[in-house]
Amino acid sequence: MEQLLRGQEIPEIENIIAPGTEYDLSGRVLYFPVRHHSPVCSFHLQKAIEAYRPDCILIEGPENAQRLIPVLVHEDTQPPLALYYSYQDREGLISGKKEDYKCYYPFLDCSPELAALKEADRRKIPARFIDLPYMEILAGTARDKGIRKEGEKQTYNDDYLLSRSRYFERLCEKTGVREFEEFWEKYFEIQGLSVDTAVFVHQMLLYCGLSRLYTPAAELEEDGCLLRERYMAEQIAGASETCGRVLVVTGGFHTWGLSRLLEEREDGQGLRFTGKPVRLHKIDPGLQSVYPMAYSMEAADALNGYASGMQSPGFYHQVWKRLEAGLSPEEVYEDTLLHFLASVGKKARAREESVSAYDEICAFSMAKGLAALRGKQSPGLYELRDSALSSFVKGEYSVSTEGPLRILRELAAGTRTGKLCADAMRPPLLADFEKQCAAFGLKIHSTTEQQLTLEIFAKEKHLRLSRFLYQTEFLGCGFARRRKGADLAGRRDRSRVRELWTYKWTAQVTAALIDTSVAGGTVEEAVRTLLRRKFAESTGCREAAELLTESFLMGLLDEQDQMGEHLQKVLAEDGDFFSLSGGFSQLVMLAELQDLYRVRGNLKLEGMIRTCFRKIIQLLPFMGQTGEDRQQECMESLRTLYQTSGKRSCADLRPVFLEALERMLERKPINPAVEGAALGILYGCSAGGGERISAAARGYMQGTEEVREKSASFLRGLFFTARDFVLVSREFLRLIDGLLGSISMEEFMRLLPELRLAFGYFTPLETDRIAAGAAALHGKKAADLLEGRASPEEYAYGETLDSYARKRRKAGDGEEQKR
Amino acid sequence: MDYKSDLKPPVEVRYREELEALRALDTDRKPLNWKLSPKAVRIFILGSREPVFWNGKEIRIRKKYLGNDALVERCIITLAGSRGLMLVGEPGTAKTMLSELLSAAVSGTSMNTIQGTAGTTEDMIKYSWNYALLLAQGPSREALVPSPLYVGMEQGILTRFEEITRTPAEIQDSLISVLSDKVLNVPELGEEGLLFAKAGFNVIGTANTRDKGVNEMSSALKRRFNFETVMPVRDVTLEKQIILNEVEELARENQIDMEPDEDVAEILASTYHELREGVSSMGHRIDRPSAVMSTAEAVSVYYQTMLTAYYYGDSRMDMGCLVQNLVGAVQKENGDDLEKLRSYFETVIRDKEGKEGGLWSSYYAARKYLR
Repeated sequence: MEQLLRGQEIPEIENIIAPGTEYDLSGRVLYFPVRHHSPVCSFHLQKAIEAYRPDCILIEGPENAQRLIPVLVHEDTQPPLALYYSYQDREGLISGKKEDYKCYYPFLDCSPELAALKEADRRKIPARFIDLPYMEILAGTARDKGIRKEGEKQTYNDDYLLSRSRYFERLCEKTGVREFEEFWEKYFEIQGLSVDTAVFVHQMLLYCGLSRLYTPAAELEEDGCLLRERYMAEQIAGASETCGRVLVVTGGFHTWGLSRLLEEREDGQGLRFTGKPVRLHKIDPGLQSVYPMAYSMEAADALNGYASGMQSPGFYHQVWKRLEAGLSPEEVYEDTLLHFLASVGKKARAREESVSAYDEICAFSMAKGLAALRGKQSPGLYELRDSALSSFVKGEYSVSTEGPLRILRELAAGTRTGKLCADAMRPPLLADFEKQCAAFGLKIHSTTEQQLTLEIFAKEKHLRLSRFLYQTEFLGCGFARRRKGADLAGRRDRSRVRELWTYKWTAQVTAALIDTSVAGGTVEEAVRTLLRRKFAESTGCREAAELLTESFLMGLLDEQDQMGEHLQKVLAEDGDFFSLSGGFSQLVMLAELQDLYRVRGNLKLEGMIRTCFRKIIQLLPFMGQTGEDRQQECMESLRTLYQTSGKRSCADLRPVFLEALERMLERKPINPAVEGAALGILYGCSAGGGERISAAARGYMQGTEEVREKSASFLRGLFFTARDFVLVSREFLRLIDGLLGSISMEEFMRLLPELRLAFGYFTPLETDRIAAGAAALHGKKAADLLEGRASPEEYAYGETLDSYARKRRKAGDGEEQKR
Repeated sequence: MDYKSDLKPPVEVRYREELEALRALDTDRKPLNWKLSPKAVRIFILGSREPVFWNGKEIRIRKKYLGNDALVERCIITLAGSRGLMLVGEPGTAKTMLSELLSAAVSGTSMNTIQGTAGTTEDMIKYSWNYALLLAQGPSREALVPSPLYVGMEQGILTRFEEITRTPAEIQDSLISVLSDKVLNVPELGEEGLLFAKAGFNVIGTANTRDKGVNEMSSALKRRFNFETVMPVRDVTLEKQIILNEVEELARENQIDMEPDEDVAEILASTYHELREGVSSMGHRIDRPSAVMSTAEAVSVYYQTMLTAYYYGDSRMDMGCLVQNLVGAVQKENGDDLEKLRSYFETVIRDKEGKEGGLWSSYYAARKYLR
């Protein structure tokens, strides 16, 4: 390693290490450079603490999390954990956009920072975070740089500084490794275990110093690095005067910068800060918050995509476990590899992949061979991956053969989730969420997806759970999702009596809940706050009614009471027929389902339904001119109005409705489907309507070609509201028959799609009856129609078409769901 | 044997000097019967940064296999172990070249090879007889005609099995016992008929994924191999470099005194890359031709154009000729492919011509040959 870094062409290499930063146990301040989540750094850090016996440990981390240290080191707390920082830029200190900012600071078992905190706790010496508060880091960072880089997962770790400088690319090339991570593993994680702590620190300082040397000062300024270092150096100087022996644990990249800002005091009592002090902003403390949260290895690994922290935390966790267990440096990695190869084999066999014990043996010897070939002391993560690829994948590498590698990726990423101690400070909302999850027996300490089937009408507990899940869905934390069951908002599958839910705990759920925690102390409270806010913002009747449906599903009946007034107002202001009728059907549905869902508020739904109805009636006469794109919606509205006005409680509305329909029919031109639907309704209400339908139909069917083309559309509207008409009126059947007999084949083909839709409203039995009637008109019997049986080829062709259509529809549905 | 005037001398002859130098300077541990240590094999195939000095000369070890270094390392370690090595991948991804390089470096010869075809029989894999001797002397070692597999086992060297999936499945399966027990039984020779493989023996197979399903390997045989999937080159710059290297080599071997043109190689590499990936560097979505768009094909298109320029032209690469050769390479399996190529020219090359001009313009103008 030394030789590698010490190129002959750079004699001044020794100057890379800043004076006073070398590993000197007699100094007043000892710098310990680390890389986040690195087991070897934690390993040597523990040794350094043992040897140096500091009086105080200073750690790189935003200082506003200081009060959370007891939570992090509590014996019941289990990593992975994260500190979650958020800042609401109401005052526009960061940018004019006044946005909200947030970031994570993850800790794993093998994180040196956590090891340092735990050691300090064990030794009863103070430990402190010394970096700027989160808000100040934001304010000191240029837009789209460092911690403010848009589109990246926000994390406090800044290890990217170690791997982005130009010189590291040359280094990888020279050492024949694929990427920075492999370089790091080979020369630090593996080789570092068998060197002395002093040598390890020296090598870290050399590497980090070179990274620093090749990073332009302007970049450091924009990233907020220099500002942070000034602040940290100030803290170090302060501590060195008062705390005795000080151990400074920071990212290796900063050690050089820190030491340049500090000099020995003449009296030998610590260090003096020589830079310009940092002035902090005065902000409202309520705008900045930090909470500890349980994190997952999966999330910690995802961070790796942005070059922060280590990749595959599950793998290094196993390395760390072996280091803690006292295995020798030579054994640690080989034993870890064996663990993973055996685990992958076991899991692969459980999934019916063919990985034998002999494959595992071959893979292990491959890993050792590769390590020897690549000049590594022990095989590491890269050899593990290579050996699994060559020994476990049988046949061409493809999606179907890479099963074992997928398993390896899962295991190496790690599946562990953390846990906070009972008295950890967490927002009450999160505590309530966890309490309710525990009460319902939901598994929130695993990141695998769970499934629930709820019989909401049969079991009281299931109904309550369903309401809770709806509430979490409403909060948008991505915890639960309803897969099947009645969809009241979408007005689909309303007859289903069971709900199928899936849920999955992720770190993002916690983060989202923390974000929402300002809205209330419990899940229900937060939901109410947001519901009220959304309701106040809602404009149309449909939108308001949909929110009402959501609150209905969430079981917040009293909330509906408060909404009632607003809804009345919205109703009064809404002048859109479709919004009103959409809202109307939702209200009617809620009134119908109140008993079933055991919801009974003082909402006076009946009253609202009437108001809504009247408004619709006012607009109805003008709906005859509805365009083709909304005709279906219009027909559905008409039918809902018809059904509602048929109820005993609304019987007085029926004449008003029919009168409005008549007025609509008078206004020409009229959409044929809407006309058909309206006539159908009138027929259903009065016995004499049949003549009128036949007359209208005759008009369409015997008209000019252009008019004739609308006849299928008319039938569609008619059958939508009064399909029995064709069954009772032989005359009407003859009319249709006449139409079909008189038009050309070409015209028929044009009408066919609409006709299909029209006849799609009939049940198979009814279709048979109509067919029999039609056959009789031509002197045949129903059975005769079946004579022309399809040939096997035609049948097969039909089946192919059918399955093709089904597949396409399925694919379309899938895409829609993805959207 | 003198290979000098041969069209394609074997790898161990082409790189004799490099191999001898590496052998002489090799101080690392070698598996039994290997000519070079695994580290030296790696250097031979992947090249060394610094030249080596041997026999008073400076010898440069060139990188011969461009692409995935880790794959080469895995191949070397597999060969030192108890399983065979199976290289699979699209045609033209340099599987055969890699297997030749490995055999030449490990065993000193790349010629101990079985060529798999639909007509390969079991005796071509195991052994057959010199019938004159067999009739005269009865079954004896002298009368036995050893197959490359037999030779590999007897001498402790690698046996290459090319295009294994073209061979009928039951014939492929005769490898199973040899690979697992490392013993070949010749019942005709009685007690002396057991041939135990010497250390250093192993099998390198190559299989073309386009042949998948022709004669799928049995899972019993698959278990005796470590598989390495050789992917097409995904990096345009690398592909261009491969084209240049290969063409230079071909030109030197055939005494063609003409320097390859980097710009033309770049255009060809980007054409092949974009047609293979189905997306252009400018973001156009392209229909992928069904023909194999391998780097080897690109080399051959370039080389043919070069030959035309050398013998019939003024030693300058002609874009019209390049496009004509491209048509020949693409229009093999499916008539639609030419249409796809034409629409590629009409969208991607047209836009590139508009943006870059220069050579791209003459390339675009040559679209008239897309017939």
